[in-house]
Amino acid sequence: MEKKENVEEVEVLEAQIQHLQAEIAELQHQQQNQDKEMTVCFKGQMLDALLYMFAQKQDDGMVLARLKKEVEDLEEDLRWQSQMNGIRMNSCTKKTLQSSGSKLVQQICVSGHCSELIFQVEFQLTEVKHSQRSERMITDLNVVMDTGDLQNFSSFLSGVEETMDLLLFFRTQRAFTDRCDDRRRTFQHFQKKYPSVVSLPGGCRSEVMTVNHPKLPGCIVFIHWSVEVSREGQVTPNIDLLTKIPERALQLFPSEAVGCAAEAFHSLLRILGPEAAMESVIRAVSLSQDA
Amino acid sequence: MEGASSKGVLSHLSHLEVVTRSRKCEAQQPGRVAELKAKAAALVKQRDQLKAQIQIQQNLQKLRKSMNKHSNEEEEEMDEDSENSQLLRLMARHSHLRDLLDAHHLIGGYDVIKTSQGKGMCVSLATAYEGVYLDTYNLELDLKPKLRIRRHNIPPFIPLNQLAEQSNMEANIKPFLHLLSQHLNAFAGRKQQLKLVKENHKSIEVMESNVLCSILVLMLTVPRQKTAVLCTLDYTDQTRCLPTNARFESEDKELLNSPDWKKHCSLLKDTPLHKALTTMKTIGSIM
Repeated sequence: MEKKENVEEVEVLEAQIQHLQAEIAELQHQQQNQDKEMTVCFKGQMLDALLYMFAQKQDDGMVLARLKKEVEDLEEDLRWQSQMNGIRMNSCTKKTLQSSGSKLVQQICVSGHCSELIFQVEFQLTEVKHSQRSERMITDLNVVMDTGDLQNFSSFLSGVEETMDLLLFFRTQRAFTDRCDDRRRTFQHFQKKYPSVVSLPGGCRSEVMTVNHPKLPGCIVFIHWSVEVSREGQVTPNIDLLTKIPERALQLFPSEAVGCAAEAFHSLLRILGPEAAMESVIRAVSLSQDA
Repeated sequence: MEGASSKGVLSHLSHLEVVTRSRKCEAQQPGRVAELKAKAAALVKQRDQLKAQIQIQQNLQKLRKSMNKHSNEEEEEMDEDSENSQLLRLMARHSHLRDLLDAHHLIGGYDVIKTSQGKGMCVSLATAYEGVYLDTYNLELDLKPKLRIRRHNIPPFIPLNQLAEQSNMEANIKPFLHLLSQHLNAFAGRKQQLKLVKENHKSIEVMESNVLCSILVLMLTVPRQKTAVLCTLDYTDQTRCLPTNARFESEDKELLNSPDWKKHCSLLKDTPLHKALTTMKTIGSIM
């Protein structure tokens, strides 16, 4: 009799175990799928926090405090990296596409901005671990940028997508925005220093600065400062001078200085550098005494 | 006793065996039940943990998604501000920050680390070519009393001091790091191209190359006639992976004056070497 009961109990338990095992397998599968959607790494304080949430042990908020400290350290670290790299990251999501033994393939989407330029980059990262080192490779690179007013950037972008050169994209983007920021600073400096002569019709970020004497509204000198990006990613600023003087004025006062102003400006640029060359033009136009 | 002896020792032994076996069996049965119970309990625990973990992960993902949407660090308020939800928010923030830092690393960021209480720092310079991550170089810098390079593993043929001077490193480190990164990436790119040529173009002989991979002499062979053509590539601008000058030499002067070979010259100047050679091979200009 006793024996029979035992056998029944064993059977019930065995069935229960089987059921639990199936349930666990299902949950593990669900977790794996979830992980593929967004991989969260549990290590160090993160693991402690996770275990704490399971166990609900009393620990006087130590887990919370330690995690908080680590989050603060990460914030500080991120501020540092953003400042040094000149790039602010807004989001980064990772999906696992393939994970088998030594090979890991992830779909990564990164968005952020570099000065005023907003970017969104998507790519696949393949990581293959060998005994000593791991090999990392980028494929399927896709860059989205608002390049409406950046014609010279688009040929570079298509080149980058073709060659999967993610690092080059960010290096060039940084160099490009640095040069644009130089231009903005210089333009703003002159506008502040010579408010009656210098104006920025397209705003401080545009390529054009106009210089004209308030008493000669028809005679305008344009400083055209563009930042060119080659397909290879070389960034070069280009500064030109253009003049707009009424025909009639030129007929009445034929001036050689106006005719070859652009060329003369280029030699000034070579000798003095952009800031000083522009300042001498501004002074000449404003008929400043010490020009 | 007698009966036992009459039946013999063997049968007695077998009786004893049966008795012990049944006893063992009785003892085993509850043991088996206990074992199974323990196993079931362990499985229940594992299942509950998994359920909890999945729940936490789901909540984390939800929080992360809202963080990605509002990047300005504004976290959505949760209904209850229990310790658990506080912890959950911190965990979400933690994983968000980790991923952002990882993104900085992936895009070839400098991976700056402050050393000795902010008096120094370590900087990494990653290199990659056509999507393949290559060598990473490191610099250790003193920030105080003045900015200077303490240690590094940059190859000696990269003119480090000249670049530091040229970019006025002491005034601002960033232009220097940018310039150095350009040089290192261009070098890595030229080296990788040479590697690919050696791997994929066995019929082309590399006659000469230097450590900086800034001069390259290749021996090409024209099919059929088997004419040898010497191709010299000069990478004068060391911030670039493409040559500034490409020229051919051969005994067959007529061949080099042909429009095809004139085109090859410009092809080599604006296409990566291994790709340009593949194109030349496909056209049938070289073996």
